[in-house]
Amino acid sequence: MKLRDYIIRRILLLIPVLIGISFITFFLSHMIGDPAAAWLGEKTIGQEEAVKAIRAAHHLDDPLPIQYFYYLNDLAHFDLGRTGRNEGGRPVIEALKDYFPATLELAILGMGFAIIIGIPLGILSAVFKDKVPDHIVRVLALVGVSMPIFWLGLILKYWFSFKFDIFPLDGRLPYTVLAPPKVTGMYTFDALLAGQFDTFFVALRHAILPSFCLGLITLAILTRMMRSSMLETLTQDFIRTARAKGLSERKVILKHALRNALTPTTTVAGIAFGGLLSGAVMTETIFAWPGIGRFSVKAIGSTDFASIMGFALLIVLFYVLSNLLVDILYVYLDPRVKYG
Amino acid sequence: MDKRFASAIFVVAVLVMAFVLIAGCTSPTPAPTKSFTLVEMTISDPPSLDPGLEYDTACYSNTQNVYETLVWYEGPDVSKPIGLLATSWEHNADFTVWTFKLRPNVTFHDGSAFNASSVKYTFDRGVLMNYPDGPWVGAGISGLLKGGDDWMNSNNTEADAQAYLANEAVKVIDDLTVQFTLSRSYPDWYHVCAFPATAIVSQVFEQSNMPYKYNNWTDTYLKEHMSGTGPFKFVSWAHEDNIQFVRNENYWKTPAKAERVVVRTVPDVNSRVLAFDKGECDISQENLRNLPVFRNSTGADFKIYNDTLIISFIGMYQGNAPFDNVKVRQAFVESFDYETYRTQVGYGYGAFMHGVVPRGLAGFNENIPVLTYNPEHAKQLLQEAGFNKSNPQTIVISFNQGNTGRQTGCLMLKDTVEKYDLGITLDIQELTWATLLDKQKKGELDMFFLGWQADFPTTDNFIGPVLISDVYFAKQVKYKNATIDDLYYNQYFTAKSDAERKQISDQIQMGYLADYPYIVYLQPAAGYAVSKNIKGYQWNVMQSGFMWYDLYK
Amino acid sequence: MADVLLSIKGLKTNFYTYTGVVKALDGIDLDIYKGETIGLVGETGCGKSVTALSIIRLIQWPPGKIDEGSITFDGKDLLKLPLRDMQKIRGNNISMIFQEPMNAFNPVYTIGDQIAEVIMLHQKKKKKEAWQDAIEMLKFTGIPAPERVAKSYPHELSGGMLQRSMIAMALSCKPKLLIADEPTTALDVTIEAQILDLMKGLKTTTGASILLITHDLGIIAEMCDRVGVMYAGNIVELADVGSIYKKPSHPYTVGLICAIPTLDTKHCNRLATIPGNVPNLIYPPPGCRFHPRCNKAMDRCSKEKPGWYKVGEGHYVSCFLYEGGDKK
Repeated sequence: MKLRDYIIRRILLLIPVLIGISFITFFLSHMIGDPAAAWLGEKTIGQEEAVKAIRAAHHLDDPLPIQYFYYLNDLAHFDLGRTGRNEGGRPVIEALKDYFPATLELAILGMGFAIIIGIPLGILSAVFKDKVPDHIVRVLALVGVSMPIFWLGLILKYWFSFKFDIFPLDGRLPYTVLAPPKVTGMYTFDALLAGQFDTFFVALRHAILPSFCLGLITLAILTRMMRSSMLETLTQDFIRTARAKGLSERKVILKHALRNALTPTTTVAGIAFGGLLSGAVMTETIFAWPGIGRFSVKAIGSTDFASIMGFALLIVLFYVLSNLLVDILYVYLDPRVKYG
Repeated sequence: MDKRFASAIFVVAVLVMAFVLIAGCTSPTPAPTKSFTLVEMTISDPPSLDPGLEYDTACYSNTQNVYETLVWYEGPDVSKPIGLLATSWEHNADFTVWTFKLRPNVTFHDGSAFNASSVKYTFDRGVLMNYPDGPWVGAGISGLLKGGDDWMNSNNTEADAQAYLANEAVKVIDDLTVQFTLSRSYPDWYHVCAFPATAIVSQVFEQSNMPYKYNNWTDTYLKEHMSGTGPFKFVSWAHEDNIQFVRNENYWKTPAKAERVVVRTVPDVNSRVLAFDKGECDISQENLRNLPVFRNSTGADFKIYNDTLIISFIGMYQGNAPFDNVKVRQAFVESFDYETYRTQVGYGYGAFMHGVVPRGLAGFNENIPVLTYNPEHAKQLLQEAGFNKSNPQTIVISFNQGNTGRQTGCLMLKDTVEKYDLGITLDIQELTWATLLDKQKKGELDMFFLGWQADFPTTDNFIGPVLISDVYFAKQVKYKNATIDDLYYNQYFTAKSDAERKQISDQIQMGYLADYPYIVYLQPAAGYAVSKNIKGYQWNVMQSGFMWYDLYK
Repeated sequence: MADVLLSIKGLKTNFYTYTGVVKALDGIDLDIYKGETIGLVGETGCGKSVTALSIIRLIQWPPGKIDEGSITFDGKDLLKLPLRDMQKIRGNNISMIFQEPMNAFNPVYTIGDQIAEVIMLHQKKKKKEAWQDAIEMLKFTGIPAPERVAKSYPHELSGGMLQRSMIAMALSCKPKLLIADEPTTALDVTIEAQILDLMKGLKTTTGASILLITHDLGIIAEMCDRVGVMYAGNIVELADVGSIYKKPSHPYTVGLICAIPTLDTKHCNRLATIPGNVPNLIYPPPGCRFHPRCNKAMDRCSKEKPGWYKVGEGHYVSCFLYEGGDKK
């Protein structure tokens, strides 16, 4: 099958996946309670009239399947509905457009950290198995996996921003710098596209601590994954063949072992990317990063169905896309894999 | 394993770190601006910036610096109203018709003139918008205007709107005179005109950009754009990130000292403290529970203000046993350890309540006794009410999920009451708002925590909801005292003078004491943090957060 | 006698495992002559492959380690060479063919890439030239459509084709010694015959020495000039192929030959098995390692290690039964 056909087929398959996800999230989210009560909060008590009016205004009294039908109908017209009170009732799609690029930017940079640092560390660890570098890397990986993001974020800020003024405390840009013209919504990329290199460096400086913080767990996971798949690959016969050919150790590892060992690591990275997108709320909170994680938590807190659904569908979309990317990468990494 | 390869890997790792550090160091740091920029940090983004639509302090804390109301107060004292966009006002004998003279030569940020039709536009807009969750409905302003109730109860058709407008509840007398006709006597109308939701918006600005129709609250131009008459002009809003303002150089008073204001959303309190200490934040509104986090801050002072429009109390459902018995209610009132609660939950801040009207308001009277903790007497009362060990009973007390202060209150009460050894068990339930409401309607909850934040600094805004049998809280707990109802409805609003009205409110608050319908425990304090070099801050209860105009370095 | 190409003296290779030290090679002595094919035969685990891997120093540490001995090749002791120099010999002067052709190729590169790689490495040729050479080598090993095979990935080819490619790769730098570690074990019988034919032919055209490791005496008979019989880390008998079948001398060799179903009953009466099991090499039997299973064992067999005794021209045995013969 051709790459193009394969991608088209996978994207068509997305439609039933998204419908399925919308079904699950719709009914699950409608179980968390009455949004009218959540919106009014303290003011709920003694205000049945207001609650009734709000329920009527938002069609909350229709039976759930009918509400779901309305939702699907809107979805078919690319209308994700409107946010709740928490976002001032603007269209969900606008809120997603505002917040998602910020998170995507963090996730991409975080993944960058994880790959650029995690994979070499994993290789180093495997090559020096049971020696000092391996012990150091393994301890670091364990620490990385088990460190609470919340705590890590504050520590990073304290040392790298407050004590030694290397990076800014938080935010995406200083308020004195104008955001670059919006193309992707990711400031670093947009600054590059617009050729504003000053803005690019400022935006990058702002993104480094939060993306490192976000990517650390993935970094640690990739390190461990890379170590174990590298160790496994190094026991394979073809590695012995490569050595018997007289290749240097560096060539044996970087040419023959690495590409084989990358396959499982790539799978993990693909799955982890979805996790970075959906699990950024802590990082976003600590670093005052206006991302989709904070939006989703706020939406859940105010029982804002449309926003919760929009968030879930978007994450699923990107999750599937990142896995598609991984599948395509496979074919390049391993000729035994075929589309289909 | 050859060493060259090992060193190559190390070099890669070092290069990555070096790149990161270079990116950190070589980028141009923005040059410090000489002029004074005020940075405020907030916990959450406003839902929108439309003051007529949002019933939310996160919105008002921004809009109150851009828009102005007709009336404001002299410094912190809400008993001394002064004109802001109005210069003077008068009312007829029964407080139903109010005439305001407006300030001349005031312009909106968009350049259009402020005049009587701006006022009419703003008030009619608020009423006709009829957003069920908005301030005009929620704070009862729509209902106060003549014909407002009819409009709210109608189907909101074009004809209904015309019918409302025909009442001329808000009438332009001349360019600088506007007249309000109310649906009933309301001697405190000028306080309503200080409420941020009634801040005057620019008709020209909204209508020229996105013509606004009645009963449409989903999309208004003012949600993301602002044009008021105030000391600061809106520049931009990046959602959940920052909102930026610049000083209005053409302000009708002296322009503000801060040239620029940036409001940043920084939800994590530790991050705000770091920002203060690094000198990157000037002011932030803080919950009192963040007080300990700020203790070691080198850059910020945590300040407390005791005057709030909030009262905290526990309702006792009087529709069935055991709280239909006044002795039981009194016993529970005397079983709450007010002093310890204030120390534990309020860090020693907050005022005990004399009656139901908080200090700072006209109806506050220090001579009304505070409720006291008296467990011996309480136990005796419960015995008299027939509680004993051989007849075990369970009383359900609930609070809203996540409110740890209230949880502490529940535990304290449970501890005290169960120590009486009279067979009473307190069942503490932590519920979401939705379930709490549901259970409460079915009468399944004997006791529940309540809090009330008033919209206007008026006495009736507390007496009404709490003590009048057919209004919010009293209705919920089934509290009814015919004498109080009569005083409120038939005498309070029509009293000839302020002194006479005060006398009636005292009478009401003294009268309710013997009924023990609630455990009214605190007027909680609120906090804010301000960097050590910011001066000029003053507070009055009608403010939502900071008035940037007052602040200077 | 022809010139010695490679000489192994007293080679001891041990594996340091958690349960103990596996003494895999217990002092191997072996000379490989120029142009000959020498076979190493023995049961699984007797140390044939370890010997081969020790020669090109591919014993992995941990756990394996060459502890004693020397391997002289071209006047140099391979065991004392720096790794960099050893890498220049591997695949160039000494190359190796492995047992499982399916696993011995890297699955993610084409056959041509992998052959060209070794050519580029040792002959310092450009990629294009090396690729041409690789196709030549494939053609040389009798592969039809070598261009297509060169562009194929290992999983796209059959086992026989892969083993031919492996041979092509091993021979691509014209090695002086080709070590073939059970090259046909994983292949079916018809393919096996083709591969063996190929190797026989190659020997005559390239003049390389071959060290052929197998457990199959039939292959030895067909392919080799000389043969060494290994048991538990020792070479117990070394002889020309002819004399080992005619006159197997070591009791283990006798047992081995009798275990082949054959019509020839000169040495043994019936299809026999050797009693007992291969010894545990962590605690190998003292003296002659075969004595616990030997039906002719004497007292001294469990106490001393036998030396080498000559029983015929170029025929040596390590067994006390032949103590009267000339010492090697």
